[in-house]
Amino acid sequence: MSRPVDTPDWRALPTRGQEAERRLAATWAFLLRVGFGVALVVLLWGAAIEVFEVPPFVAPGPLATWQAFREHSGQLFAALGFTLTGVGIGLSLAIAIALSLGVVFTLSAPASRAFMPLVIGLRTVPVLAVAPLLIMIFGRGQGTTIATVVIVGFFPIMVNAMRGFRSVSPTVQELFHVAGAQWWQLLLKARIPFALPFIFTGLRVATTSALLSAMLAEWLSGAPGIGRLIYDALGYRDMGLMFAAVALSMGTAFVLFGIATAAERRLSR
Amino acid sequence: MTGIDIRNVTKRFDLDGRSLTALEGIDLSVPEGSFAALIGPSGCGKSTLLRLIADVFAPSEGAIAVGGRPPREARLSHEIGFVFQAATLLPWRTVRENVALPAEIAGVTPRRSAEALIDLVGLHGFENAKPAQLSGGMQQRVAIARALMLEPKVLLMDEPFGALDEITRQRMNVELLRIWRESGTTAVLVTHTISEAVFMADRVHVLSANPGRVTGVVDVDLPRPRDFGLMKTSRFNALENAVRQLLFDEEENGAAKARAHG
Repeated sequence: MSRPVDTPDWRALPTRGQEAERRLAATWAFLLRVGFGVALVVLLWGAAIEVFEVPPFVAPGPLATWQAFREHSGQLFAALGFTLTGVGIGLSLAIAIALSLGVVFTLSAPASRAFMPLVIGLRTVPVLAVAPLLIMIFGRGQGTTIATVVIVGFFPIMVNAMRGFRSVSPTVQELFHVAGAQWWQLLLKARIPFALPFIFTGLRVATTSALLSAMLAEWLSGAPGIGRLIYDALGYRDMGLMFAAVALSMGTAFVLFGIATAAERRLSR
Repeated sequence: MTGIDIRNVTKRFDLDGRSLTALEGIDLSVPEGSFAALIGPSGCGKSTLLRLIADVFAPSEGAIAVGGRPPREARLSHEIGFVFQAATLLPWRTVRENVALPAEIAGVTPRRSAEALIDLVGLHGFENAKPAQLSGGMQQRVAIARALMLEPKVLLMDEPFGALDEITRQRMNVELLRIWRESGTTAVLVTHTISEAVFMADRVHVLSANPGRVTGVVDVDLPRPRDFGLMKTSRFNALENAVRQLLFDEEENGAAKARAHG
């Protein structure tokens, strides 16, 4: 076979090692930025307590909070674990429901017309308003937390997934058509992969609101998670414990957000 | 018998309740193993015609036969390869996986490996590269290799090099002729470049716009294999002028059919 004259040189492509090195450097830079941000917040917090002479029963400083954190770490992490279990189950259900509905609505215009208003209606109802109803249905335990996370979380995932499913260009659809593809082959080999970055954008939005709504649900239902712990600590005026719980939930929210963002970015490359 | 026969084909689209005639009374045939070019102004329906052959749309009137069979049958037995104006590669797949996609969809083990096709289009060594790492010309080579994966009897190309610069496009054209010769398919190329049409084709079909009609045919009797030197010959220029005449005199002549034998 005759070799064409202008065969390009494949050695110019970046190697795996170079790519790994670049990623490692980016990770270090990110951690450094985060560390700097946290240090700045802690410094300002400590300074504010000192300067304005805030008494410990109103707000403890960073040191007092750290001590409370160490003292109550078992209780704190048990509560956090309970909440995260609810968030995890809720988000998993939300993803399953959102993707199923998204696929059905994308493939079937009649189904979209019939059920989309219902879904949007469910979304626009404030969770706080239906919370008593949810508590009646799901009880004062994990059930209400999960239901709340599902209601709040599935919508951004579904909307983004649908945008992703529809982002497949007409020529890609024609390509599959000419190759004789079935609708499910187009779904598996093109629609879902093209939608992945969109789905993770939805997941990132859902994850941040999921922790918030789970804690809110605990606040109302009394389920023994970190949301309830903050509420109770405030009730007992145990400000050290409360601040430790707040700091822990903030850190957790940040980590969750970081994981979702990293996953999204990895897929969007 | 895998030529293409288009008999009195009309295609209308519905746009907001108004009927738009994209193609009207198209009669055209492409003999087996030959190379045809479709040329015409924007909106003459040349891309639509290509999609009718590929069974992406069905004609409103008239009949199309690919190898004596309806386009749908030809498509489902993988006799049609299609190259789009954009490379349309799946960005998460490697070059090899992109080329192998049609075989994967069809669920068949192809006689020819993806590697052999990647070699054929001159991308040896790039099997594991991602599309984003390739230049526009290289991406389009991958698209051509993919279109040849299931050994189609008919290769349809919709301005495949339209997005490339002039120099790359001319090189790609020479390579495309080599690939066409080696694969032995019937080829239809949609283009809006006169020299490209003459350089590539055995026969150039000239279309007019609004609605799309065939205004004339120019038979290109240049020897093969063709190279750049050919473009400097007076014969080449005469053929170019014949196509140009059909493209630009069409307004005065109406839809009168002219057949230029150069």
